[in-house]
Amino acid sequence: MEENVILRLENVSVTCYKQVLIAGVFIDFKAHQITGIIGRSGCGKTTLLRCLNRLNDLVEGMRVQGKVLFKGEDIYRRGMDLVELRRRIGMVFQRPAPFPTSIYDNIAFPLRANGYPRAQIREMVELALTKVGLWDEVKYRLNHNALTLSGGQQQRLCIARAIAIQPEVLLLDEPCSALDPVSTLEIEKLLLKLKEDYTIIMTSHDLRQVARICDEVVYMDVEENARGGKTGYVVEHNTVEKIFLNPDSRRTYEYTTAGLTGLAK
Amino acid sequence: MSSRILTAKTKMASKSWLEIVLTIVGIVPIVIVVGIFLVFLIQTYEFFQEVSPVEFFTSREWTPNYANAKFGVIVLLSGTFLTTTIALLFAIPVGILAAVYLSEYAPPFLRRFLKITLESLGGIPAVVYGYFALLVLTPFVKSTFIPFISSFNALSAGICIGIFITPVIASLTEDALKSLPQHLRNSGYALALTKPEAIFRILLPSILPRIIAAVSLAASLAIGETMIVAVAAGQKPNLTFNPFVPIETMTSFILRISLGTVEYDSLLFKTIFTLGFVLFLVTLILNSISYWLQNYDVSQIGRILYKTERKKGTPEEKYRVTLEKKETVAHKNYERNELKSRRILEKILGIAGFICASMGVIFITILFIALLRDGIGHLNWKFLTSLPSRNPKESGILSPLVGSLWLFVLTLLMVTPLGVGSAIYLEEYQKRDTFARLLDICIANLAAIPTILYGLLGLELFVHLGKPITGGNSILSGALVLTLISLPTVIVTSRNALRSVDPVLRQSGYALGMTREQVIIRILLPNALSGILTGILIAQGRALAETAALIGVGAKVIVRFLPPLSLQGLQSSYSTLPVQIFYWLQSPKAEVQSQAAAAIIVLVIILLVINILSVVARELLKPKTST
Repeated sequence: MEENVILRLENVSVTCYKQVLIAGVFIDFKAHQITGIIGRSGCGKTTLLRCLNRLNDLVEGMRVQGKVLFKGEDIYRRGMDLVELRRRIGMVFQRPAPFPTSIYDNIAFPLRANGYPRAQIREMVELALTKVGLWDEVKYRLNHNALTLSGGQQQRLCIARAIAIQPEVLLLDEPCSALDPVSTLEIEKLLLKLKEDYTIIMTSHDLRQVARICDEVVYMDVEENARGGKTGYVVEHNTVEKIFLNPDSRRTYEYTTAGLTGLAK
Repeated sequence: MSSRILTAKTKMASKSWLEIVLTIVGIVPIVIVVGIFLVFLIQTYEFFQEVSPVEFFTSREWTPNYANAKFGVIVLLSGTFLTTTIALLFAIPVGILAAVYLSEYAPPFLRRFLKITLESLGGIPAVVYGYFALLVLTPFVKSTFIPFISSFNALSAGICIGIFITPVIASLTEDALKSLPQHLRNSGYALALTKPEAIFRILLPSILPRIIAAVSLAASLAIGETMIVAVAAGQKPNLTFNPFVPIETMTSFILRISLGTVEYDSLLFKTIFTLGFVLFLVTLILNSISYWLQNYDVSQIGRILYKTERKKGTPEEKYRVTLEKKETVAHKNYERNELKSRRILEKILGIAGFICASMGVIFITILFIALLRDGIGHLNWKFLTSLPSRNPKESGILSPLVGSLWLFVLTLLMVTPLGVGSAIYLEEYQKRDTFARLLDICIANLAAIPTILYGLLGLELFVHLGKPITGGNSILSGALVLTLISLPTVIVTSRNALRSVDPVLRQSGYALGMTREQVIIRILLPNALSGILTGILIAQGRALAETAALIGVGAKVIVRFLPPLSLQGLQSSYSTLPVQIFYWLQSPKAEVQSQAAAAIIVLVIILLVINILSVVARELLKPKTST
């Protein structure tokens, strides 16, 4: 295995009851890079992302086959410690979901729960909020309810909360889809900065954003089978330049040109 | 051409007979609420003409039937407070843990089974819980834990009330947990929280108003619970907070007085109505809190928490720490302790939740073993076909069975047109205005009023004032009271059934030029039939199990004849199965008590059959249009 690969997917497929949602996925995610996953709605981007920290376990009937190797260790083996896994692979969702407590507690509570000594926690909260550029905005109202923040601030709080527990990989599921362009740019700047410390895997519908910040891109598509079930699969995995300028697959080209120029094929 | 327009006009102008009938029926719930309020208010007013309010609220003695009568309601309030507190102390943790297990831990196949058994606890007649408290729980506690406990005590009664109200808390909490957005749960687990951490720090605080709503509804049920206390807690007024001695609650006092013959307009008669009024007000307040909180927007919770936190007003600098050069510490790695206790806690919560969610299975199993042990020896054909007698060897349950059958049929005949008609009026004719909201609140409150209050209402309206028609303590009075009790349930379930009819069906009826009456009779009723029938059967099951209200309106304890099958039969006195069971349970003789157990087996089998019928009705009569 290459030194640089932190997460490796080997022939991963996801089924929900008898429906095959994703099939035959092989991807190597490299450390300290931003990998973007693109593709149209329903192609299984989010499902794939949720495989990586086993959040799919919470959905009834969902099963994952194949191997997901995190630093060479299969995360779907029996007896895997899910809490530890999710501490090392953090996730931020499409819609900001702050807990209905204070801004401070939103970050401090997961830290305390994860066993960080109380003496460090204030410093860690400040550091996390500083990293996402929220510290100066909220430093005088840390005890206010997190729901009083604006959408962009809430999402940055969620990212701060996720990085505060020092994960190694950060999964972002369309982190900017609910935000205005200004907040989006702030988060993009933040992600570029975070790349130095973390490995970031994100999904996005915004191709310009992907082009701006990602190092590698995975393009997924979806096919309908005879019985009406839809199965997503990976079409192409390449560097961002290749995907947008000179893709291997014609379908990638059609998708990206349609997305960037508004021209249908 | 002109004649056509004319006919259309007359059609619009005069209201149809159906609408007029339905409007009259639809207002019945309001009449009942106003009736209850007036009856109780008048009697309470007259009571306070004779007894000073100062004595009522401050005296420490309760001896209304002595020569030197004292009316210190505190004595009865302490009894009610004691049993209710014990019940809530049992039901709140068990109910919430059961809800947590069902919603967050349980695998799907187990969840359905546990949910059904847990919810069936609410359908077991109160008098059966009384049997359990008196003859199973108290002897068990006495022999294993507390040898000095009295054979009548508040503890067993309180715990059994707790078991009875656990499903209310569990199912309302589970519904609230289910209604939480999934992303809240996801982000909790994505932050490496264990289940207990996510549940107790994020999920449960988010549904706090709903939990309070569930608890206040459960508290209202516990306060109004009559039969369990009457059977197992001793009926002895006692100003104490000691759970090991006999006590008397407001409800059990009303029941005790109703058991004897009370002279109308005597002070004792007014006393039980005054107590009833106190009960009515307390449960009304609790139900209103619950109703208001249940319809409360969950998204508002954040605002409330925000306000309280702002008040704390911590100094701005509290969380300030000096990170001298933030860039240099950006890569600092913080120490972390591995906490083993987190994983252990997760397992413990799972096990505790499983035990609580299995409450239904555990209770029903123990109950059946006890019933078989006590009662199976008595259960034979002769027991079913003999009249009750003082001699246990010859005694049977024929007349209570026939009495229950009479009441069942009569109630069914009265509640079906009233309830379904009222539901149609509310769904199809009533405009959504303030009056409609008032009706909704009336119905919601009627469904949660303690049944003993309906008994008192019936005592005044049907037995006392309506004596020329009903014949006093007669089958007809009993059936009228049961109709009042069943009505809210039938209205609510029928409305839900009507609402769930596909709107396309209704619209296509109108599009074909049908009148509103034709749409109701031809389209709505056939399609909602299965839902309506299920609701009626559920309500009838409850009516069949009802004891307290019937004792209130004077069901007899030993009836040695069968009511004639004629109009005169309506005015005959009667007994029912639960009333007979209650009477037998009051006897200290083991042989009579085992008769009660045998009669309980018969009652439970009948209720089981009704439940199965309601499931069959739901499955077989499902509208064929829906796929």
